[in-house]
Amino acid sequence: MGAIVLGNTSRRRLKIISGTIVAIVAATPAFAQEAPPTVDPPAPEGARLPEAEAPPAPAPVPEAAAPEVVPAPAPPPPVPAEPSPEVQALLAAQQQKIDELEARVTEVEEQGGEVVEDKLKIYGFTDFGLQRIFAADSFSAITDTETSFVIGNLNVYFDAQPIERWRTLFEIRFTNAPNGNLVIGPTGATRTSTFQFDPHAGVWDAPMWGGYTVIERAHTDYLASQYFNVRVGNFFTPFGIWNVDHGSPVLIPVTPPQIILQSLYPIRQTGLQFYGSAFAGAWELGYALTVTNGRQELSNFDFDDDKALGGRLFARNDGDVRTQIGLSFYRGNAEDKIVSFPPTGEPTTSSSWEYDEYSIGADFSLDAGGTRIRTEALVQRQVFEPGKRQPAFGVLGALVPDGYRYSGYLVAAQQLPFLGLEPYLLLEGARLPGAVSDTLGVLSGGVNIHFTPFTQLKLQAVRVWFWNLRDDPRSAAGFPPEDLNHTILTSRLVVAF
Amino acid sequence: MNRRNLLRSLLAALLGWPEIGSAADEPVSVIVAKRSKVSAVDRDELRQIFQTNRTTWSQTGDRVIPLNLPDKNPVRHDFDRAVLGLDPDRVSRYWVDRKIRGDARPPRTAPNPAAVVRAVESNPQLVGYVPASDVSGDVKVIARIVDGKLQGA
Repeated sequence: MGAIVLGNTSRRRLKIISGTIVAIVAATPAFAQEAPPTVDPPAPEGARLPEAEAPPAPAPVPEAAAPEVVPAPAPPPPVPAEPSPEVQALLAAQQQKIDELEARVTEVEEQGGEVVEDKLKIYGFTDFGLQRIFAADSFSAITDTETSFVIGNLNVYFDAQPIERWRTLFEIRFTNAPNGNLVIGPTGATRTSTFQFDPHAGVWDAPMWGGYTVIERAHTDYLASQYFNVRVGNFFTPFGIWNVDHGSPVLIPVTPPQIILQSLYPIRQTGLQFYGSAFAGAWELGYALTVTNGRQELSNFDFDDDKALGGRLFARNDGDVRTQIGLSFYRGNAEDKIVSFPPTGEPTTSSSWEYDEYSIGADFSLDAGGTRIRTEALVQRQVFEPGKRQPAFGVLGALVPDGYRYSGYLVAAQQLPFLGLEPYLLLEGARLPGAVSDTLGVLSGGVNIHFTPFTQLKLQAVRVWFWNLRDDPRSAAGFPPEDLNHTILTSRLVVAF
Repeated sequence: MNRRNLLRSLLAALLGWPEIGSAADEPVSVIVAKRSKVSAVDRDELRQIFQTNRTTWSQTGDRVIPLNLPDKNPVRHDFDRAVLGLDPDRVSRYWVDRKIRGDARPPRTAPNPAAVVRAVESNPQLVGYVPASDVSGDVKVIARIVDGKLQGA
């Protein structure tokens, strides 16, 4: 290709050269016009020289002297001599050369020549869809099963790197929640509405509905070196695959696994993260270590001084067959905080529930051409403080026991060489002791249609089964676990921008 | 094309594997500033650098900053196929995924090969790639892509 770079100086030189060539050719006897001595011959436009290169102009005649000059009567203009064919050919060739050079200068100048990176980048993703859930009536009473269009995610990233080693990233999700949220109470369920009259509408009765903006993440990174970097703020827990992939453009299925739905570790945390990596040939060996407030379902604040610790080790080969193996862990303490103001004396604080938790997980992912495989599994140990158990879901008065919870899934997808089709299969199992059931299984299949690298349509069918495998009469709930079985048909049109 | 290559191409097309080694019109040179202490790079390291996973040279420990050509530039396509092992669509998806995950930013982009040469010759931290005919006297070549494969300088 061999592009040339010409700035203003080069362009001026080019004009000088082209002008000189044309001027020389124009001055040849066969081409030059015979002009009256008192009148300068008209120079071709291209022959004008830049000011810096032009010969000194003759001194201007003072205006007062003008009336004294009596021009001689001009002789009739002579008939211009026809340029010879050789000169015409030379002129045409030179003009063509000039035009080509001008065109290349223009092309290069239009391309620009600087390496510029935006200090602030804004990007994100959206997804909208249609879904339907088929379930028993008892299940339908606690969720919305009807065919419904849904607004999935409206996530915008603000990625600022004002100087080389400092970066701030925050991701905001816009949502209508809590409008329409189903609040289940002891005697039934009610809807939350965010309806109000718009106080800024200029009329008194203009309707409006508000919604949350969710801070998905907001952190600042100091990029110290390959081996050690520091992240401060609110970040996704670096645990496994799904929680890191996070967004619908990256994830293969639509529906999240139980690891996420049951929050078997905190989805996001506030605190410090240290991370870095080293290389061994094609492999990158990395780590992340977190020191945080722990779970923040109730508050981003920590209710005690017992900091949560977590970490991740991974080995990654991003070569032709992209492979990653990871191990993650988390240890934290969770509790609520109740403040009482007695009629006399100091205010007191206490907690109604409190537990320690330990999670450890392993994950593996593989991208080989059009094949994508993701699998992860974890075990969580939950130990409550005596007398401070949480209420269990589904049975009035039941409490969550101490115990282990296990969950794992496998997703395998294959990009086909036509129509952007990527069918996939999802298998999932979880052992989650609860009041109604202790085990569930998921079988799901779907297809993603990749229209472009930035747009895709996700279609998925999911079947979920619940079982109670315990041989313990105390686990008998008010309704059988089969009542929770359901089927989901869902879709999302995803756009990354 | 012999039977083995034919089979490999058919399998690659069916499974969506990139055609590694697709022939480029002109060799591509991987360049650094003349004053850089780096003298060579292999494919793994170059890939890690241009995936922005690696931020230092293994040879010197110095900081390295990759410089890409625009994603529509055919030289970029040749480079991505040879070094990342990805065709243009998959490169785009790769960077969409990285952005959504919140990973490190993609490499900076220079508008054309001449801008790559100018930027690289003035900054010893930069590494870029240009058609071999665009290499000027103020940069040095540490690797070449010939016939779709990375070779030493």
